[in-house]
Amino acid sequence: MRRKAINMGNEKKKEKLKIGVYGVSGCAGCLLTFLYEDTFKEISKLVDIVSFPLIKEDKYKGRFDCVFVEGTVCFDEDIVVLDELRKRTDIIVALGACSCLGGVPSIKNFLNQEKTMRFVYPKYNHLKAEDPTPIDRHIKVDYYLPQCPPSKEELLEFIKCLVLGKKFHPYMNPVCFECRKRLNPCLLEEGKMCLGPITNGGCNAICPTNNVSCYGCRGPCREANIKAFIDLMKQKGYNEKQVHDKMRTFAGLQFQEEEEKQKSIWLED
Amino acid sequence: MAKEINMNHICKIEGHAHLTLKIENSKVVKAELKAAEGARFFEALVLNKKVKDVQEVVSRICGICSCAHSVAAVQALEKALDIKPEGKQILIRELLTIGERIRSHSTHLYFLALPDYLGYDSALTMNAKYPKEVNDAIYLISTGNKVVEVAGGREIHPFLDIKEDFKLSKQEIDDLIERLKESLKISEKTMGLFSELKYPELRREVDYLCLKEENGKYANISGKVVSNSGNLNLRDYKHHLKENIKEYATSKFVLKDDKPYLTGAIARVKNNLEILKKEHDLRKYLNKLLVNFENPFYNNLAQAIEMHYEIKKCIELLNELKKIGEITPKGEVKIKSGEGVSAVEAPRGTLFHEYKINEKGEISYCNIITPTAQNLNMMEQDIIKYVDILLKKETTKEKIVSEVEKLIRAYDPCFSCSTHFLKVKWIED
Repeated sequence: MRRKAINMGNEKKKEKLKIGVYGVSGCAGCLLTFLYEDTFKEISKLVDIVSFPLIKEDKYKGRFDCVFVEGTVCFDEDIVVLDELRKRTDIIVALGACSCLGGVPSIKNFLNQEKTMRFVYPKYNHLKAEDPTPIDRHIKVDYYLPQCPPSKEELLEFIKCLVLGKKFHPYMNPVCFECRKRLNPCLLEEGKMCLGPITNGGCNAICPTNNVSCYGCRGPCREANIKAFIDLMKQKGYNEKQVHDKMRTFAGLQFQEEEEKQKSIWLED
Repeated sequence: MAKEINMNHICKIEGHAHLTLKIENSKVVKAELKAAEGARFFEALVLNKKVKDVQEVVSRICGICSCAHSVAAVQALEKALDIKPEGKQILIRELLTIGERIRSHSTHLYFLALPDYLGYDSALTMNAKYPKEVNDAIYLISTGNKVVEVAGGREIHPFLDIKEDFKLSKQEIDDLIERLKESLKISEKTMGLFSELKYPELRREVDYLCLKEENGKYANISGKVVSNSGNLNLRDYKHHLKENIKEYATSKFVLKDDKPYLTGAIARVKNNLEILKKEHDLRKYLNKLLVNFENPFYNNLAQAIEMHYEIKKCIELLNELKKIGEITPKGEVKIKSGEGVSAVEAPRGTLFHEYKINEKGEISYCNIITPTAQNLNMMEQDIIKYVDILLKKETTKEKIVSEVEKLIRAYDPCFSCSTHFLKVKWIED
């Protein structure tokens, strides 16, 4: 990450990094992460939040050092917002499952488009709806902080790295790693369909810890063996469609890509 | 002379919205408020999902009201499956909605509304002169967050499985009660602060709709749907509450028996006055509200009063929770076909969820009516009325825009739910 502002021996007054916090079509939950007691105070000490339309008039017209974006691209205006932000900042961080992976709205990609539209808006032709996609399908994204809702610890760590000019290392092990560390009983062994083995961790296995199986909100982990996972689930009495449905909760597009890639490598049994 | 005011991207509201005003001969002839959010089609996203996967999906409709959406969904599904929740589960759900309401009201009051009245563009800039208020806000928001975290496992998008139990330690509950007692001092100050603000004058008759319990309790997650124009039977809510789609918006506009109505904190306070009047510390502020119910700006004071009351109620509920022991896990949920409707008080008003389940345990129908969709008609009407008043006083364009923003914010709309900030563009002949 680009080193700026922090120069330990520098006598000059250090200028804080200028941060923007924006959302495209989303639930504002990721934006709320900035307003937690433990994050708000620390973040405002470390950086200068110059733009944050949820709580602040969008008057700032200058350049940013870093912009955080939540939400899924669901219609053309979202792309306009993203294009403008990309021009005004050095770093774009996709915050949350929606912006990194497509999130829950991306389920629509796997449904019959016409039926979906008619179900929600029965007699309606004026809607301009894009296929719901993560923001990196439209602009270059520099960093990803997935998860729904995002981890405030990870957000803080990222901002500290940003300020210090240190490299940010995303977590690279499956959810099962942290889940084992927390000594949780294995939900797979209980017969539940838990996406832990094929999902990237970094969430401290918060769902399995609360007795809820993993829905894959941090996307597929490195070398996720999706075929083996589907086989395992079949042994437990689930069918392929049910596994796909579960993968299509937060990161359907990525799990699908990963599966396609693997299919082209392995021979069918 | 005809002119058009376009306010794109209204700031400091939850989500994104545009407003177009058309003015002819110093009178507003058209006001169109639309969510500038892409449609996310949530009701269709849960179709064919398994019953237990629904809450994880619908919770994502809104981060700020994720608890209300979760509770409404779970309750409606339980009704469809003929499952009766246990006392502890009901308590946990009530705690979730109260925690969420404390967080939502404090965020709205201090971060979204207050800067307007103190003449700042945001709480961030207000911080220099009013650090105490900003700290208070952060403290209250976190109190709400902690309640939700204790009851639901995390601050937003809580865990709420139909049959799972939650493990709470006594220590956790006691720490939370201490924090809530501390928060009461701040919420008392908040009532004082918001009762003394100078609100603009705007009066109109309104129909207030909310939930009401028959047992004399302040309704949060159950009760009857009451309104001045007639109570509703939850089962046939759809016959009375009609969702209208307007050509310019992705959000739906809801009318009750073809008439606009209001839901939210001010409706809850108005319809539950006899309960709130019993609280001595609320009387002074209620008296002020009593003569100002017709003024939409007083929704702010109603929120402050409600927040104080709910913090007290939260302490009671936590003490009750300590007395109830573990609940026995029920085992697998018996799947059957059925249908269920549930109404829950979300921070911004009554939220309806309806589901139909087929014999395979999959969702075959879903309908969700959010509070903001119900308030949009009233908001448009109030905007017209208020801008007409402002035009008579020959107010400048800049002032009109900022006053309209203030009015919209007083409603505390949530455009994530109903389907973005006011970029102002004036078009004149």
